[in-house]
Amino acid sequence: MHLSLCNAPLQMHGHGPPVHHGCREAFFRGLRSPLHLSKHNVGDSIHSQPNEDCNKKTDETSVWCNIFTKRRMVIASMFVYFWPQPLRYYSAHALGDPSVTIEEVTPPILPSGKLFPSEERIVKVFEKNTYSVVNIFDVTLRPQLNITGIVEVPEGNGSGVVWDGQGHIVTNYHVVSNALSRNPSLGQVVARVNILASEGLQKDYEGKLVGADRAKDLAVLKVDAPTDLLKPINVGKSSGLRVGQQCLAIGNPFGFDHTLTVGVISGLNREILSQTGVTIGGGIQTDAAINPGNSGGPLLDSRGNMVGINTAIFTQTGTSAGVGFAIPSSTVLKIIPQLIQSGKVVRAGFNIEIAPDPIANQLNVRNGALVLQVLENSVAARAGLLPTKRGFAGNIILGDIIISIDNRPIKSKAELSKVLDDYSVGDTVMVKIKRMNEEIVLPLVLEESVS
Amino acid sequence: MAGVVPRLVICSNSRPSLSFISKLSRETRNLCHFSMRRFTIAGIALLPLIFSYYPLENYSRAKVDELEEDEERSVRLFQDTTASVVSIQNVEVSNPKNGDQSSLNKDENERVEGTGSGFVWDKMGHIVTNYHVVSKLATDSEGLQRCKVFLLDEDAKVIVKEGKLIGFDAAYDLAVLKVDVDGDELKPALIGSSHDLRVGQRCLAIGNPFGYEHTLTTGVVSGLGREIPSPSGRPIRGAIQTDAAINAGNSGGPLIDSYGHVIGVNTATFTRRGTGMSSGVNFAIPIDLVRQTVPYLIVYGTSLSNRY
Repeated sequence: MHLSLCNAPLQMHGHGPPVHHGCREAFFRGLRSPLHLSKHNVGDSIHSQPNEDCNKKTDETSVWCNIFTKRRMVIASMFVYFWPQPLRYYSAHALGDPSVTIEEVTPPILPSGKLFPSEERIVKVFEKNTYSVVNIFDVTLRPQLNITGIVEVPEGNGSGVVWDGQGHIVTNYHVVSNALSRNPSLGQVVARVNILASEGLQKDYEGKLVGADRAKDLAVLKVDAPTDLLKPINVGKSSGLRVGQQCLAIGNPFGFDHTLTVGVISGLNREILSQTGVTIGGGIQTDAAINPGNSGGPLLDSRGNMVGINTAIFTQTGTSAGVGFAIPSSTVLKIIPQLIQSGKVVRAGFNIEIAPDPIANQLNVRNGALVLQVLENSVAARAGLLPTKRGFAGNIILGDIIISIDNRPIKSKAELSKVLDDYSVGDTVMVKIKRMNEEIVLPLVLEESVS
Repeated sequence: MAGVVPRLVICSNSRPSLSFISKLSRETRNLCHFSMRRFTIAGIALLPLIFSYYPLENYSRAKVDELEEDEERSVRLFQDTTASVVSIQNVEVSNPKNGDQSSLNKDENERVEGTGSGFVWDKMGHIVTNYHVVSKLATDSEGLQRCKVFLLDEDAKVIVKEGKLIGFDAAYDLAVLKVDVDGDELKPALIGSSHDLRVGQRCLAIGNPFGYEHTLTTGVVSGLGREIPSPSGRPIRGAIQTDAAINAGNSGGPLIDSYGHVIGVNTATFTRRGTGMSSGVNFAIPIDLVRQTVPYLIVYGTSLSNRY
């Protein structure tokens, strides 16, 4: 009786869907499986243990059966019948489906085809421009090693663009803001710049400060790298951009260097609220995934020309939500040469302090730029522009409100900065101001704004 | 006329309207007899003629057609491959029943522990997914975990089958389930290769993010050779980075190239803890690694390195 049980050809049930066995057979099968890793199948080719064959197997099964005497069998079978476990779930350890061979479950590999033209274009643009994108680490921020051993790369990690063959690297101000907040002098090392040399090989260089402009969130560093390593990027025109055009962003989000993300131009002329607290106008909005670490990297059009520098994202989670912003290349082209030449940007202005929006709203000045203070010896002071004062009774006497410049209406502080951006030092502008319900027009010569 | 680029066509003399072109071709052949200057002048004089036959509009139309082709391709790829993608639900029942058919219908005793995606590996009913989708099932000690697999049959109707865990490997974040075929014809996914991928190539992900079944998201390959942590702690090397949106629920689903071949198994996204929202920095296990591991998971239940 025992022999027939064991010979109950378990090997028959190898192929096809699993069949429900009686409890006893299941018990024996469960006993055998941990010890014999492969299933015995008549006619199957591969097995883990090389010295098994059909004849020997019958002997083994009979050996197994002989271990269980009649008495033990009865006890064991009673135990099994009272075991309230569902049949198909032996345990989490009886895994593997030995009814199949490795070859049967290995599917063929289909050869990969040639890339389609649109794909090929993107691949080529990336391959050409990835060498112009560098990885920037702020020297004052050191990566923290957690107790779990996972290294956290702080936000001081960002991207940059190789501007020219002399080693100038353009990035965002906020990427190196921690080092810049310590007021380094020009020429001091503020960052570590990682340049991609060839496939996979990266070289580190020291980035020295050449100039920084907080108002437009841009900074220029210089590295002493050999000329063959520096591949300057092609700067394109951002004025001809159209919504819906394809754009590519290359950067180092979360430390994953030289990552490509693709999207479209979602909007133009957006106001970017930069991390440094200033609003930058004319921003390009894109849905290419931009994350912390992408800052300072280029936004390219489908021809590979840089049309913007990725700067900020609008997010509630801290990661990309599909709303990213880039400083247009037209602004970059105005700022960077000045930074390289003199280390700072000369802005034309009146050297007056304008009330920020919350204060202006409280003072009920909604259509114009309210003058709070006028710098001594400035053109504005000489022209007689009046600042906001406090009267003897403690009341506030409003100063002059600038309502237009050269017939371009000004409604807020941001608009004044935007309009003045188009002028240079020495230009004469007609400023219309409102003083005590009177409108006066004054000609003023723009001078260098002292920040 | 789509796809025609202006170019010189050397034609036979029997086409009188294009005799100028044939004359030019004869000229090019007998270059030694004519001076270079005359040849250039002749060429320049003929350019307007050539362009009048092949106007530049056709070139831009070719570009427009190419864009529509891209869209058509995405649509067709989704239609062809969506039948191979399944939805996986890991449920915990409060009272285990002996029969398995009744537990396939949702009843009040069930609690969904996890959801994810998977794809059909072969006609025998093997489904490949991520380990972390079925981790509760794999570490089940009470026998209360069940796995429901939602497949599409030939009529695009959803059928539910019980999935049995065949093998898993936490170090590669892979797991294989088996469903009873029962006469239904399963459509296995076409397997491609990942060693010759290039950054910038298009890729599509199909899965069930946040429970929305058979969702298609597209993007490009953002990076290659990335290292991501696996549930066992050991890193998975050679991961494919993509910006196709992969959210919670996409895990285990296939990453497909523009030929419809699976090039990866969507696994993880860089996200703020607990949100499961895609950030545009998403990762997939390369198919070369999957193809090496899955057969051993099916036959032995565990990876080659763990067997001894």
